[in-house]
Order: sequence, then structure tokens, then C-alpha cells
Amino acid sequence: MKKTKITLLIITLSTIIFGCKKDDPITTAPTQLTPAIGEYILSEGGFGGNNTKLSYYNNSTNTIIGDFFLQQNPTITGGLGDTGNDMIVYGSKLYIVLNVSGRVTVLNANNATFIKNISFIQGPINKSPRYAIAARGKVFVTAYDNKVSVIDTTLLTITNTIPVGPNPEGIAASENYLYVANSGGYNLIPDSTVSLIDLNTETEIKKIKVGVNPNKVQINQAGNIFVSAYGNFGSIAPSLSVINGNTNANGINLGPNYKYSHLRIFGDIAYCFNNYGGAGTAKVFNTATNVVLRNEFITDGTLITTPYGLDVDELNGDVYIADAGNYVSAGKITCFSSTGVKKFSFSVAPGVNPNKIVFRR
Amino acid sequence: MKHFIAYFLTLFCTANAIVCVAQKHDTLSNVKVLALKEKNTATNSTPVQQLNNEQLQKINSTSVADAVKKFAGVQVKDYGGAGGLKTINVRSLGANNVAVFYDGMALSNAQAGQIDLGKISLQNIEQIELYNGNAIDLLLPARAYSNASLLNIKTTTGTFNKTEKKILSVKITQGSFGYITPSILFKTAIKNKIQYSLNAQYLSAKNNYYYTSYENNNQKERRKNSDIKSYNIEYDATYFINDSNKIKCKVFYYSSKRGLPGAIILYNNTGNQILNDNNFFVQTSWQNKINKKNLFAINAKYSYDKNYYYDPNYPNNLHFLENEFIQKEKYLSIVYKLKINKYLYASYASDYFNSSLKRTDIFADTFATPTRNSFLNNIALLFKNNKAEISANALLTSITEKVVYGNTAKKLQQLSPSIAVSVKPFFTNNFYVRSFYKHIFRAPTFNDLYYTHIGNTNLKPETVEQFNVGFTYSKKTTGFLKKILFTTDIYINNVHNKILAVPRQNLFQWSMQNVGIVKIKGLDATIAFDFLPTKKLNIYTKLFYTHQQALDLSNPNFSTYKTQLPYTPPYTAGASAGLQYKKIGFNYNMLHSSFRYRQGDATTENFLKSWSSSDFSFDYIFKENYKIIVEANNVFNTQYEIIKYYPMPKFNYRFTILATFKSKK
Repeated sequence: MKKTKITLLIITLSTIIFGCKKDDPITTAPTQLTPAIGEYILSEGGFGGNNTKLSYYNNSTNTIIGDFFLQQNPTITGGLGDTGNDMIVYGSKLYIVLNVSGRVTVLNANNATFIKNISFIQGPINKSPRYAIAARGKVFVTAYDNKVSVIDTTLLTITNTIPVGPNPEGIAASENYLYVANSGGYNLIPDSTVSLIDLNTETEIKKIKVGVNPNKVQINQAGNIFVSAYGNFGSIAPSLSVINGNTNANGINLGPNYKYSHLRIFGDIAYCFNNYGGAGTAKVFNTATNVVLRNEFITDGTLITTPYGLDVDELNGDVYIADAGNYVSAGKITCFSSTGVKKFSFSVAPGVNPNKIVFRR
Repeated sequence: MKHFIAYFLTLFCTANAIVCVAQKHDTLSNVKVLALKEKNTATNSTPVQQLNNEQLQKINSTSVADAVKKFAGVQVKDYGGAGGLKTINVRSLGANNVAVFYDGMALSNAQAGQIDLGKISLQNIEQIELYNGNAIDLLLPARAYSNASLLNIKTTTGTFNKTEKKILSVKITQGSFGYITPSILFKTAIKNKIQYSLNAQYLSAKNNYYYTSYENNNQKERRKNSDIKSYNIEYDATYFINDSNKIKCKVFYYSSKRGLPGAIILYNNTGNQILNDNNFFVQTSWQNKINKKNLFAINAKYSYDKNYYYDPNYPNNLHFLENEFIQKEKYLSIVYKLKINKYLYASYASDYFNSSLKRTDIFADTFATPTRNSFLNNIALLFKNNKAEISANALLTSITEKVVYGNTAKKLQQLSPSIAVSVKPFFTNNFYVRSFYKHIFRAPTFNDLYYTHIGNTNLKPETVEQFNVGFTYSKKTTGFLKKILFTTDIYINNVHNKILAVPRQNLFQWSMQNVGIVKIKGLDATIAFDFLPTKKLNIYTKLFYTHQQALDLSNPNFSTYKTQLPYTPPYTAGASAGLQYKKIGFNYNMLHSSFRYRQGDATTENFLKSWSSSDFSFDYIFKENYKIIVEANNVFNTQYEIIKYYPMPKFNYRFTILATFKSKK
């Protein structure tokens, strides 16, 4: 009984915080955003399974097309390829980063029809592209050749490469800089830096110290950079660090209450989670005030087996959580209100291991 | 003592041994060294399937892995081609639940828990037997009882014809995709006292076979990085002290270098990892029949296995990855068999083995480096009269482990019983009803327990419960229909705490899944007819059929609940037929597998379509000593997969010439 009361109190409090904060994206969404008419979901599939899927959920008919890529591109019988690791929408195009197939596939954002493949295979080596971010009319892709490849969005070719640290993973863009997590995850001793790249010169300025084996990089409204790190899967636990966006000095570890390897920030609200055996779904905290809103995002008892991806509809604050289940069965997407109450859910079958949701507006 | 000296000299210095024996044992009776007799598989209380030397030459197979595909209830995980990994899965219990015995002792792999049967060439194999449950042989070590099934492989050693003194056999096979294997076998007997044999084989295959492109159905592509070069040498010596007292010894060495082609990855053809294997073992066994009632066997074995993996394009700071594992095992077994009376036999077997695994690469410091001590004690009873055969055993297993780094697996102690009954319900000797029950488990492997990031020292043993009921009908006549054999068995297997391995990035790395609970219901049936229309014409036909439902009952919350286990076809079937007319032989072999799914969910993504593959062979003996064999495999050029994205070879051929010279007494 007591617990219920406390939960209720937390919900109420968080609703107040959500509702009252002045520059909260939930209440003061940028005016150019129109309501999402549907969602693209990327499912990475199984490693070596060649089953990356792009699904599309139609918000008005509440229907899902599991293999939307195949429907829109019936001549490409092989499909997208292996291990779609990331997907972004930029301008009129959708960029899908295929890690094991070694390429970035560019589609029309409007209907997912094929435009072009940008190869990351060079001779006998797959550079293994990982994550992408867009800035200043370009798309920047991290890859295991330890460089960030710069894609010109008109030519759709790699026009420049920027050397960074080992096994770069997550990437984020501020007004003037790129921040790249150097995981070094393939080395005996992982890396623990973020490369700071000047967007004007497209060169690395310096390396900023963060947690061990950094993974995701996110920037809040105030321009501070949050980095989640895996640790070493043993003695060193996952961690969250924050870098001051003005000084770009070494990151400050947020401490033992933030042992998370995955992170998403929308506006000032951070959602952090673990997808390999971590407890619960996501912790929610306000990055501007450093107030923990909820240690467990979900408030209505909805069960998520394996949170594998999380995205927020910036217009209404709805949170979409991708559930990888047992990693081999069809994945599931559940949409929650920002208060953690389930709105609806759908399977992305035949998609397995969904990891990214992009909104079609 | 002299016996021992002679025996060791036999092993290491043949010339000396000759002298030794010649001096001491000139007047000994003839030793029974005939070819292994075909077992009457119909009266056995546990289901047994058998392929003998003669049959093995007629089934278009080069390795034990190919041969066992011709058994009912068997799935071979075959990743394609001469270099691909091939493991046996019997009655959907998985490769880890099969014991593989090679000339009386277990082949072991404490690291992965499964034996790559593709490595074992058929060149020197006399007989392959597959037992569900136990082999009804009270002289076997305790370890033969420690798995759900037993694959018993016997080499040609000790199968001399009395009249032969020396045999030299030279063979060369050439085939599609750069396949070539020269081999030599030399056997000799000295005064029926000592036999020794030397077998050596070299294998080289490019294995770059064509397959239909996954990206574009109209295109052909070639398998890449699929080559293999291997050789093996096997030396055997048997010293017969007298008719009922003998000592056997074997030294075995295998070495291979192979490319790991990996799964076909769409749009990415870059894989170039390699795997080198070095396997060495020496084993010896002393069997002595003290008197009519008492018999004992002492067996010892030492094995050393090195496994080296290299990825030349690995995204670390060295830009390559090396993994090297060394496994060692010391194994001692004592078996004592007692004849209590005319109908009742008992045996006690005690096995001890010490298995260790270490790394010699840059990861050595943080590797568990486990050592496992296994004690197996087994009591077996066998009652046999002309109406029934009843066998029962109880196996006590104790396993303790030590590690250098990290957590240690828990101690394990388990008692495993089994019982098998075969009865002749009618007066006729042709019809038998058989049934067995066996409760057994498998300990988690070193990979299951200690693999970096994937291993889990809290793993429980995987337990397997088998129930089997079946009947056999067999008849031999001297007429047109020479032999009939008809067997049918139905079975229920319950697996708890199942540990499943699924290949990851390549064939050498696996990810562990604890699937949990599996219920298997199956039916195995075989039917064989041998005809003898004229004295010079011999015709045989054989069919097998397997039906299996293997349901995953692990987690009702997952969509995989109550779905068929990955890669388990609901049914498989096989047919072989052949004829021998004078010196000409002609054989046909067909295998069929129904559809199956690579994962539990029955989606089109996971679907693998059914396949059939037909092979023909023709052999001809000329000038007494020479034989040619022409094999045409997958003659209908079917593109199929056993494992998704591992295409199997389409049409291919092999051409063999064999020369055998025998010197008579």
C-alpha cells in the first residue's frame, strides 16, 4: 500500500516536472515538427543472419508492414543485408548503417525506395560502419577503420575521413563540434575517450576522457555531452559521464547510480538502460537539474524483456521502446506516454532485434 | 614382463620386436584375427545401426560425418565441403550428448564437447556403430555409458585374415573443387603374435565450389576461403600374448590448416579467418581373459589437442586476432567382467580422466585455465537366454574442477541408471520387441562455463531422459531373398536445462543459449532387403525414415514456446540400393530432409526448404589387385543448405584408384 502511494507520488511529481519545465521539448516542441504519420523501425537481425529489416508502422491505420523495404523495393531480393546497426533521417533521405554487410544504404525518407549504397568495404577489409549523425548538410559515420567517414548528402559519396580513436561507436553533433565515443572495445584494454572534432575543419582537436569503453554519446539542450560506457563486462561496471560543452574538459562520472551502457536524450530528459542483463527498462533523469524522475520509466507494470532501443517522438513526448526478447524471435515495439503508461504495441515480425525508431512526418 | 618389453618394442622398433617374439613364442596357437563380424542388430535390446567396411565403400562418403548421415535418427550439422565442421546430432539431443569412441576409447573435447566427424577419414575404418542408449558390451569403459548415444568407430586394425601376412594398400582419390587425397595402409602380422599397421593420408581441397548467389538468383558465386590441407598418421600394434590375452597400442596424429568461410554475408565477401588443428593421442589397452569366468581390461590414453585461430583483419590495435587453445587429457580405465552363470554377466568399470584447457595467446592471463577431474564408476548387469536379453547399469559420475582465474564451476555428482530389455514374444527367432530407458546428463563444457563474456559457471548439467519402444523383424535365407531386416522404434526424450550453441561470427565462435526444456517425440524406421538372384549377382536395398517433433517448452512467454527446435526437420529419409555383379559394383544413395527453421519462429526468414541429394557410384575390380571407383554426387545439381547461409556443394565427382597387394603365408 505504502509502495503504491510512493509510486503515485513519483508519477505525480514527474508529471509536474515534465509539465512545468519551461524549455521541455514535450510542451514546447519546435514549431516545424508535424505529427508523425508513421514510424520506421530498424531491426538488426541476427549476426550473420542477413536479416536486417525495415518495418513501417502506420499511425492512422495502426497497421504494421514487417518487411517494408522488400515491399517498396521488390527487385532487391537480397534485402538490406546483415546487422543494421543504426538509422537516421536527414532531409528527404533515410540512412541505414549496415555493420556486417559493410555499407550505408540510402533510401527515400518518404517511401523507403532505394537510392544508393555507399560501400565501406575496401579490398579484404570491411570497415564495419557503426553509427551515423547528420550536421551541416553532411552525414558522419563512425567505422572500425578508426575514422569518421563524411558523406556528402547530395553526391552520396564519402568525401572525407577523419581519424579518431579505436573502434569508434556513438557520435553526436553540437553546433560546432562532433563528439565520437572511442570504445577500443576490440583491444585487450578498452579505450576511454571521446574525440572532439571541429566541424569547420573536419579534424580531431583533442581526446576527452570519459568512462571505460564508451558507447553512446548524446547532447542535451544546454549543450552538455553525456556519454554512456560499457565498462569491461567484468570488474569495471558501465558508467555515465558528462562533458561540459563549453570547456570540453574531461568528463565527470555521474557515479554508481548511473551504471548504464545505453543512453538517449531528448531535450533535457535522459533515458538510460542496459540491454545485456541489466535490471528494469530505463532510468529517467533530467540532465539540466540532475533530478532523477523515475528509476523505472514504466509505471503501469508493462513488461519489457530486453530493451534494445529507445526513441522519443519529440512532438508529443511518446517513448517507443524496442524489445529484443530472446534475441532470436520477432521483436516488439511498445509505445508509452511520457508518464510511462503503455499506449500500444506491435510486433515487427519478421524483424529480429529492433534497435531504432525513426518518425515519418 | 617380457610381454611388456615385447609390446613396447613392437610399438617403437619393429625389427627388435620380431627378434624378441621369435625367441620366446615360436609355438603358439593361431590367434583369431578375423574381420569384425556383422552384429545381429535385430536382437540387441537397444537400437543399433551399423555400417561395415564393405558397406562404407558403397555410400559415396569420405568421412565418418558423411557415413553417419545414412543412419536413422541422425542430423549432421554440415557447414559444407571437405573443410566444413560436421557434428552429429542423434534424436535431436545435440552433438554434446553423443560419445564418440575410436577403437575402444573416447575421443574427447572438453572445450567444445563435440567431435568434428569431418576430420575422421573413412580410409582406415572397419565399422561404425551407432547405439541409442548403451552398447550392450560389458567390456566397454564407464565413459561409454556417460552419454545419451554412442558412436563406436573401429579401425581396420586387428582384422587380419588368417591367410594373409602382409597387406599394402595404396589409394588416391581426386575430385571436384581441387580435392585430392593420397593414402597408404600397411599391415603385417608376425607369426600371429604381433600385428602392426600404419595408415597415412594427406588431403588437400580448394573447396571453392559454386553456389547460386543469394543476392541475385541468376548469378553463380564461388565459396571463398574454404580450403583445407590436412594429413594424419596412425600407427597400431597388437601383441597377442595368447588367445585370450592381448595388448593393443595406437598412436594417432592429425594436423590440418583450413580457411573458415563463415556464413555467406550479403554484399560482403571479405572473410579470411583460418583455423589450424593438431590432434595427437596415444592409447593402449590390455585385455586378459583370466579364465572362463573372469575377464579384465585396462585402458590408458593421453591426448593433446592444439587449436589455433587467426583473423588477419581484426579491428583491434594489432589489426589481427590470434586465439590458441591447448587441451590435454589423461585417461585411465579399468573394466572387470564376470560371468556369474550361463545367463548372467556383470561388469564393473572405473574411469578416471583429467582434462585441462589453457590458452597460449594474449588472453592467457585472464582465462580461467580450467582443469577437470572426472571419476566414473559403472556397474552393469546382463541377463541373456534364448527368450530375452535384459541389461541394466548404474553410473556414478563425480566431477570436480579447478581454475586459475575467475569463478569455478560447482562440484557435480550424479547417479545415472538405465535399463534395456529385448524379448522374443513368439516361438519364431525373427521377431523381437525391445525397450530401453536411460537417464543421463552432460556436464557443461569448458566453453559453456568459461568462454570469455559468454561462459557461465552457474550452468547446471543438461539432463536427458530417453524412453524407447520398438520391434525388429529379421530373416536370413539361402534363397532369392537373402536377408530381410525391418526395425521400428518410437521414442520420447525429455531434456532439461538444455544448453544450446549457435554459431556467431564464424564457425569457431559460439554463443550459448540455455533453451531449457525440450520434449522430443520421434520414430526411426529402417528396412533392408538383400537379394541373391544368381550366384554372381548380389542386390541390396535399404531405406530409413525418421520423424521427429522436438518442442521447445522452455518459456511460455516467448513466441518460441512449443515450436520445433532450430534445424530439426520434422522428417528425414534415406535410400540406398546397389548391385554387385562379378567384379562390377553399382550403388545409389539418396538423402532427403524436410523443411525446417533456423529458429523457433516459423517465419519465412527462418525457413529452410526441403532438399534431396542423390549420389551414384560405380566400382570395378581388375587384375585382382586394382579397383577403380567413380562417384557422382548430388547428380541433380541441387542447391541446398543444411545450415542457413552455408550453401552445400552442387554436383561433384570423385575418382579413386586403389591398389592392394597381399602376401600370403
